[in-house]
Amino acid sequence: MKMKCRQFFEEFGVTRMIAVGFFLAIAIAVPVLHLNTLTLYSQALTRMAMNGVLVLTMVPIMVCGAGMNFALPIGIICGLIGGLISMNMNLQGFTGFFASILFSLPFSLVMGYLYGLLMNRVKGSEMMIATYVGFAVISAMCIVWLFVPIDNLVLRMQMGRGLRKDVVLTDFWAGILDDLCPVTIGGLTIPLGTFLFLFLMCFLVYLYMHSKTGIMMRAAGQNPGLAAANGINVDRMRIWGITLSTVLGAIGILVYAQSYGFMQFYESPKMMSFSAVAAVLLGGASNKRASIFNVIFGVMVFQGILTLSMPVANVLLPESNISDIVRMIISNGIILYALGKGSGKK
Amino acid sequence: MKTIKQFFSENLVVIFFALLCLGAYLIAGQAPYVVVSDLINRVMRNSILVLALIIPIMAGMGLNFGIVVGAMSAQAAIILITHWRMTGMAGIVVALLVCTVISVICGYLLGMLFNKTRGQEMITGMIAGYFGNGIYLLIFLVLFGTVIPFWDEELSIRSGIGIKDTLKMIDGMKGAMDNVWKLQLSQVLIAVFVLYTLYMAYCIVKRGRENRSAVKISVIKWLIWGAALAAVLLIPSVSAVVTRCKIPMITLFFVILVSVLCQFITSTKLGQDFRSVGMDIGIAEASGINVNRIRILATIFSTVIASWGQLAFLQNMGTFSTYTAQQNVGTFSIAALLVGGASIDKATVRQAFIGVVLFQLLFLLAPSAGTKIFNDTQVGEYFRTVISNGVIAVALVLHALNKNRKKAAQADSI
Amino acid sequence: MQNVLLEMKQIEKEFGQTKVLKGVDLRLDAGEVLSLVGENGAGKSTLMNILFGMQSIVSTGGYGGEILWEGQTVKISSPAQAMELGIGMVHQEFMLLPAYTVTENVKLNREITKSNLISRVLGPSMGTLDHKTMQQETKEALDKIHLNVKPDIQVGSMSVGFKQFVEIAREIDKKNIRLIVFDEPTAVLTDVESRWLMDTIKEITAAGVAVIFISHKLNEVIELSDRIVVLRDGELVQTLERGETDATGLARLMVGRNVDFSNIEGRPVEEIEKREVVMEIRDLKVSMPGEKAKSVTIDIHEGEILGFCGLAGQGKLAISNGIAGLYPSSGEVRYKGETLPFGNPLAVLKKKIGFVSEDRRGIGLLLDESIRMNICLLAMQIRNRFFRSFGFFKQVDTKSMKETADAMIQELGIKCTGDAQHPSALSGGNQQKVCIARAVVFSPDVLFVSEPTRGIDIGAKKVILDYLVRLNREKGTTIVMTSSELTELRTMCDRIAVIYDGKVKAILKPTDSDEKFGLLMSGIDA
Repeated sequence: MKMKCRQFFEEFGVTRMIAVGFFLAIAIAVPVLHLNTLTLYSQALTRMAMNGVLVLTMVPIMVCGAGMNFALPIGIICGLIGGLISMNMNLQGFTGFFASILFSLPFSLVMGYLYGLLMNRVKGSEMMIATYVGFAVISAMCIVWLFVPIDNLVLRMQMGRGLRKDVVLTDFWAGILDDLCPVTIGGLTIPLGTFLFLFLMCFLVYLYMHSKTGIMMRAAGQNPGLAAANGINVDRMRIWGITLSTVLGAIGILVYAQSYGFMQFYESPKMMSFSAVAAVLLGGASNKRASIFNVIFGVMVFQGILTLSMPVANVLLPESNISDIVRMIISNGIILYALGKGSGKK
Repeated sequence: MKTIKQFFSENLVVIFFALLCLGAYLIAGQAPYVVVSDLINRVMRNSILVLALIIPIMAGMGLNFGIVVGAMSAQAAIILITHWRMTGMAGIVVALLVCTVISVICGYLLGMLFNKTRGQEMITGMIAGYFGNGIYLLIFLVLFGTVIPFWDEELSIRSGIGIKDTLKMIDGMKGAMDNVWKLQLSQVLIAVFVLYTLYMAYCIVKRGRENRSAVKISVIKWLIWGAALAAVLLIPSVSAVVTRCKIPMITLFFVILVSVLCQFITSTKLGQDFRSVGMDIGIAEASGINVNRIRILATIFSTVIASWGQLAFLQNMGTFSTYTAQQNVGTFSIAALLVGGASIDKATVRQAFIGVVLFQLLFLLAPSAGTKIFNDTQVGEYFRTVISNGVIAVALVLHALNKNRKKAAQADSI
Repeated sequence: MQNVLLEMKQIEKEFGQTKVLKGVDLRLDAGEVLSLVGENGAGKSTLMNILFGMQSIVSTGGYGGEILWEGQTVKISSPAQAMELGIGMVHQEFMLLPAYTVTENVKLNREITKSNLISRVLGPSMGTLDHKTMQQETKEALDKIHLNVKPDIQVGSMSVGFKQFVEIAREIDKKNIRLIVFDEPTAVLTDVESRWLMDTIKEITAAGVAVIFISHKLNEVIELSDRIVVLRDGELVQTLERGETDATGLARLMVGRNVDFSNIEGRPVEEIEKREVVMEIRDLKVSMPGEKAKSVTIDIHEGEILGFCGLAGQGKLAISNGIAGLYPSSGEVRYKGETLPFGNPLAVLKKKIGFVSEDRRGIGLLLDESIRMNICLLAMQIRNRFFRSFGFFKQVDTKSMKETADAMIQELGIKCTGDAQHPSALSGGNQQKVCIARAVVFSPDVLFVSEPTRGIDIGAKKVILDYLVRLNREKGTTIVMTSSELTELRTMCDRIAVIYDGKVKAILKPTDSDEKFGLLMSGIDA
């Protein structure tokens, strides 16, 4: 029993334990410090729901063996394009939201496929290349945003040309899922719509991972040599996984945007992948294994910490900007831990 | 004919960026004096950071994205000497000492981390940079003034916790190294030429008798350079620029010192160990080299040089934003090195300098060229980030393709 | 009393449960050549790794017994220490950096430096390299072995034979060298180069340096050795002085296990050969690194058990790997009259040809999935079993998977906590059973099995071999088994093909004599 406990802790990892402990500590600190507990908890729940799909993108790509998806920005860009097209057509409400998803699909499918092709050629260095390809695409898109033809004047920058940095979604589909059927339990607001959408996505991914393709993808990711010997086309499986991840990334940013109320173009998606990667790792994923549970648990702990640490810290250390610092240390710490562990196994 | 072709294929990257710079220069239409003096300034302050990348590449650890950590050590040192109100060369020397100490410690830790993540050094370095950034923020933004007692009228945020987010160096620190001694560019060029002449004469006297044709070639070379220098000095429009531009000599010496250090290390036993480890860890280990120690040493060297580089950079700027000044150090330095024709497993001091010159030239020209073409200043700005990220992405992809191809070829040949 | 350089007494070594060295003694005088012969896995490499203080020994608990170096007991715990004593090794895979020059390779980590200002402060590692002296000393070492190359050319551009000699030059160059171990040096050499190497070794020993020579080429061993140590299954079989035996005798000692195979009950070969040919292999070439098949031609008959034996590196493993589509191959393989494509595992599997790889931990298992998944994976991929259909999409049917997996666990006696356990925690033998179960669940007509008993305990060995025989007898599955363990091949196979130099050297009956097997495996016609 003792052995088992120890093994469990080793598996779970020190960094992860610290993070979960930290989360519990601040979650308890909120009511203890007489902060506005219900509002803060509601905020935390909203952030969990809105980030969920972005974190879910990690499941197929990590399972198929292409490592943590540091090129999440590619999927995000596709989502932004979809959203832009739908807003440019002035589509609002549910039509607008689902049109955005629909318009993003062709982009994310093609980009995901191309990105998959690239990743198949650079096996072994996926993560670094993904990061910088992501960065490069973002900076290239910055120029594109400047020149993209826009009919809808709301989207245009007030001065000069090009798209606004942040587009307010109030007139389009802000909170379309959040406000779908919010449940309020004694002051605690749960954005049930967004949660339902997240669970729907998780369920679809679950189904996919338990189909034949999903199983073979898992085998291909875990042991490419074995997969090849068993007649599985490893490269094709990787392309499937990467494309699926890109498509989810596009949907993920749209879910994020509707909750956030803004659509952020230009350089803002640059660091989003790190938070998503950190969340899934916190949830217990490792380089080649990631499950729906890891996603839900991870996003809960990670976003919980980010949302709740700020007000708590402000009581303890007034005027400090601790939330960002906590995000940096925890997210990068957990990634470093995963890298160290991943290489150690070899 | 063949050598020309070879020259082009080997220097493709450099030629491409040289042409890009030329194009940008022609379009931008800035005054030559402005361009040259700005370029001198930029090259002086960025070179050392780029030089910091060479040793890890030699040791097979790829592009060291972890130099950001070194940069932060330098920033910490500057915060301290500003607090101690040290100025002038004394301030610089103390800052150098402090940042060396901090960066040796950081480099050691980083090196240990690299040993734990063998084969993933680049991504580890990058993430370690972000992680270090978090720790740096924690120390200077939260712990200073709370856990660590600290109060400084100039530096502290009003609430007493943390350091202000813009750090203005006190008078006498901005350009402390640069302003000690400046010479005209023309004088420096003449001095360099004199040294070159002396060196050549020495070579001819020492070895000349045996090898006639070599003497002939070096004399011709000397004549060509002499003519070029004379042309620079005599053509009025050019000489006006050359005599107006000033070179900060101490900074120049510092840059030269660091490059000589890098060059020197390659010729030592330690340098040979770096290379052996870089080529094949397994064989190096079997021949009794302590691979982990060598890799930690390489990381320490890199981190220390990076911290010196950031120090030279910041004293030139005078003011910097305390919490973000280091962020782009990694990307920009690495991109510069790659523009100079280096790759992920091979880089030389020469490539570092060519890279810095071309990259900084492109950097200073891009905004105005962008404005000229698109009537929009932002295009140029974004173009710079596209270039830096794009160069790195392409280099990484090419390296991976090459590596996988080599692996396949090796499997075939056995 | 002669000048005894090295003595190893009662050396023992175990990796986990398996004992690979069971008390080996050897003694070596200065200037003597001692040869180590034995089949693969006899313990030669382990013995040498112990002598060299390799990490693989130290990190697995060291060794038992005593090593005496010039009469002093020593405990060698690192290669550096071995080098200090004067032990050098010429490796089978070259320990050379191709981008370095000959000099740089010969002087690797033994560079000569000149001191300078900085090195005086910071220590000798900052000393400048003294290329001139290094060049000169390398030249001397090269001259000693009559290797006429310039010390400043890059090693990468040299031929394999020359590289081998550069390795030797590196050992010779060490000033304190007393003993050089040659690990199968002639395997990669041409005949002329081998001759040259033998002469070099004689010269080295004439200068007083002792040599340990590991080789499968028995003729070379006989010619060179002052003393021959024969190992078998980690035991010392015999120590022979020069002239005590010839190649035939040596072969018998290597292979023979005092088991009488002459009257084992098997199926008569004549009858097997009358059966229908299911697979014709013609001129098969497989480029598998280190195990090249050069031209294999053989027929496989319906329902037989065919064995492939041979020494490591001769290409026996390449045959099944090539047919299974894992390595680039050429030639022709016809299965039931149809040509099998190369490099396409899926097409081969679809023809119901199964393969259990020798690389169990590498490509045999999904270590982080359940045993259930491991067993059912192939049948899912090829035969679409274990899925339930929900209209237009299919989902995994865990229930039927569990039933099948449990049945296999029962049948093969896989010791585990249940079908949901991950195979990473299983012992080697049980892991092997999982691999075999996967191939069996997919119900193949022809099953290729490579090294099914390598590194597993005796109990599991017996279960696996019995199961394979039963599979053959009851279901009529044709089995092609590749193994380094001749004994097990001889107990279960109908015919055994000896593979040498990438070709079928001969097809023998299990009842043929020990010498015949031994000599043919060493490439000598019997």
